Amino acid sequence: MHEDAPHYFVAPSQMQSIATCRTWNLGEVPPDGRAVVVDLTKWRYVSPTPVVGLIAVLGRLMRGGRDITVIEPRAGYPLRMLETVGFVDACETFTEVTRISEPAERVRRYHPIIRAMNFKTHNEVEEIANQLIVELGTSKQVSPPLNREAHDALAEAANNAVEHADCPEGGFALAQLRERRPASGRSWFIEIAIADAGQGIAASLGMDSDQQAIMRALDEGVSGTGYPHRGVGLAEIERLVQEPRRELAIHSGHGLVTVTPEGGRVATETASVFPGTLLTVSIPAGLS
Amino acid sequence: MRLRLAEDGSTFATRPRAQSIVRRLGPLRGTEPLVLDFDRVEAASPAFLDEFFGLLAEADSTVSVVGARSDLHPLMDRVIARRGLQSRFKVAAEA
Repeated sequence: MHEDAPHYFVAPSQMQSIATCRTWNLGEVPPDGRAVVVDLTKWRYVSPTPVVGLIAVLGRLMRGGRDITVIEPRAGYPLRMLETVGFVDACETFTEVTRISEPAERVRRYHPIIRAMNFKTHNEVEEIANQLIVELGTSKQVSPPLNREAHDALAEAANNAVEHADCPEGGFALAQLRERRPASGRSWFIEIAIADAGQGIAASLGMDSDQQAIMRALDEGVSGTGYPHRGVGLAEIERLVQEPRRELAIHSGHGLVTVTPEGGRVATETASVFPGTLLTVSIPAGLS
Repeated sequence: MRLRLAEDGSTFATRPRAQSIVRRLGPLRGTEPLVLDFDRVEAASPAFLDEFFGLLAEADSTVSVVGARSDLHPLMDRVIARRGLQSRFKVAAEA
């Protein structure tokens, strides 16, 4: 590769896996400030987790002063979904975006509950969490106890980002009603994703292993603040997903921990690295 | 003294929000039993409740929680137990 050539931090052939498997190959991005091209041409699905993860990652790369080019998905549907969830608007919270093509028409069917939003303060967390409740209440597609679960999951994850991430760009939140189509019949769920490209959980807790740090952070009473009675947030989110058809996934650095009612905690050391913390909670919507 | 949370909104998500509400109570605190009215409160996060109950426990000897949605009760009970406030905080089923 020519010295001045842009570096693809994920090869175009791998972009599909970003959308589905949370693969973040940022460890391959050389720390030399070269321009970065993010090629989304092969994206087929757009869901909250990779979108907010990508937004946070772009913010971190911009912090390093890099020029970034994002190549839009080739297929019409993911292009429209990116517009629907507010990808460009969220990126404009940390950089000036020059659009070459016209914005695509938004998708109406799976309207997002909360478009991708940036937050840096507790007041903004309050606003987003309230907006989630209002949207869910308006849609009448989710029962009130599930509304509250969604609110609490978003609030606790976003509070953690504000208090522990140490990230100049703040955090990003996106929540969306989605559909699963397993062999047993389709079902609807709310996917809530919170991302920050901050110091990560291990650094926050003063630990070396990302995997062990995430596991530790899930334990009640563990907090990087040092104050008594803290460390309830992640523990409460984990408690929420003890009920059927819920799932929690936390990716920070090389660590990925998933929690399900059936399987409990499953920790893996990933080859890919997420620079900060990316958290997803899935809650059933009670629709069929 | 009765504190109606709904006068501050219907959702409560953060510790600073709890601090702000408790600050407003100011000199009135501790002068008489406190009743926290959660009627029309749709959501109160674990962090909010932990901070809220913790701060109130510093000056108020007895606190009654009324009008809260039933699905909030288990979370309130956990927060109260975690803080060791079972003898001073009571969560009532009805307003």
